[in-house]
Amino acid sequence: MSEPLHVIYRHEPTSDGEPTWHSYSYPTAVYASGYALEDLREAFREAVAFHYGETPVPQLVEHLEHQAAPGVFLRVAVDRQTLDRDYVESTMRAALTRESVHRPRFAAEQVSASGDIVVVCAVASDRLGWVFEQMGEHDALHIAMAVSDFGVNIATVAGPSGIPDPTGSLTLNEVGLSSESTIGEFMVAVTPDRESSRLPVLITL
Amino acid sequence: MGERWPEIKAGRLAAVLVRECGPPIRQNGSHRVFRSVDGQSTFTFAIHDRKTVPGSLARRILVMDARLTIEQARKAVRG
Repeated sequence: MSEPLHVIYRHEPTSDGEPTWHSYSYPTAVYASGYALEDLREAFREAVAFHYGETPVPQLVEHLEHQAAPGVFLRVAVDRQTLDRDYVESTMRAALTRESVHRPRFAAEQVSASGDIVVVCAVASDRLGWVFEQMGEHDALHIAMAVSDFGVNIATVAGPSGIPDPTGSLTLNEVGLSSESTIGEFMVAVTPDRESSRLPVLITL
Repeated sequence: MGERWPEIKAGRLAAVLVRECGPPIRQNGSHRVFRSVDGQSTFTFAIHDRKTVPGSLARRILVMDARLTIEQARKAVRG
């Protein structure tokens, strides 16, 4: 089966208020916009059909991205585990509105190709490869997974050009993982304490 | 967080893409397929010229898909 096409529908109103939704996608980049999510989904499908021409369009995996704090976007995949991801999303959203001392901190240089923080709301059974499919070489993505009724673990992956200075980062090999490893295994490997959880794991795409 | 880029009209961004990447390799109305400056990949920009594009999206397109450096992208948008 061919590689899926991950499309992210981002809600980011512009100063003139319209349009409010934009899409971007991996591994083939297709950009569209819409005034409402359904408009955008339709516009994206038209644009992606135009891009591929006679070639069959890959299976689409859809994600929604909303801003939870200035410059911080939460990404939720629309799939059979959306409700589980929504729990992570709401926990993250609440954490981001706490008093600053308790708020999750993100390193300023660990940003997506858009220049902002993107947090993928994941569940333990997601494969790392599934996250890698939804990023490019210039992206750093933060992965959040629920670990208890009240908390989430956050760890970071970055493409080869995703952070300016990779000093102190680890590779997947160094943490004994592969793209087949699950997010649950990833969290156990990279977040044994708070210090190590701040180190991005550099990956090769 | 990274530097916030200013919003840009889609028509102006398309003009920047034409200047940096060359004319679209295929076009139908506002659907335009461009080739990256290094010739390694193609991408589709299907946003109508009069619409506004967030700075974050402009940065992504210019750096990740057109494959300009951040400095080149910044200069291209300013110029």
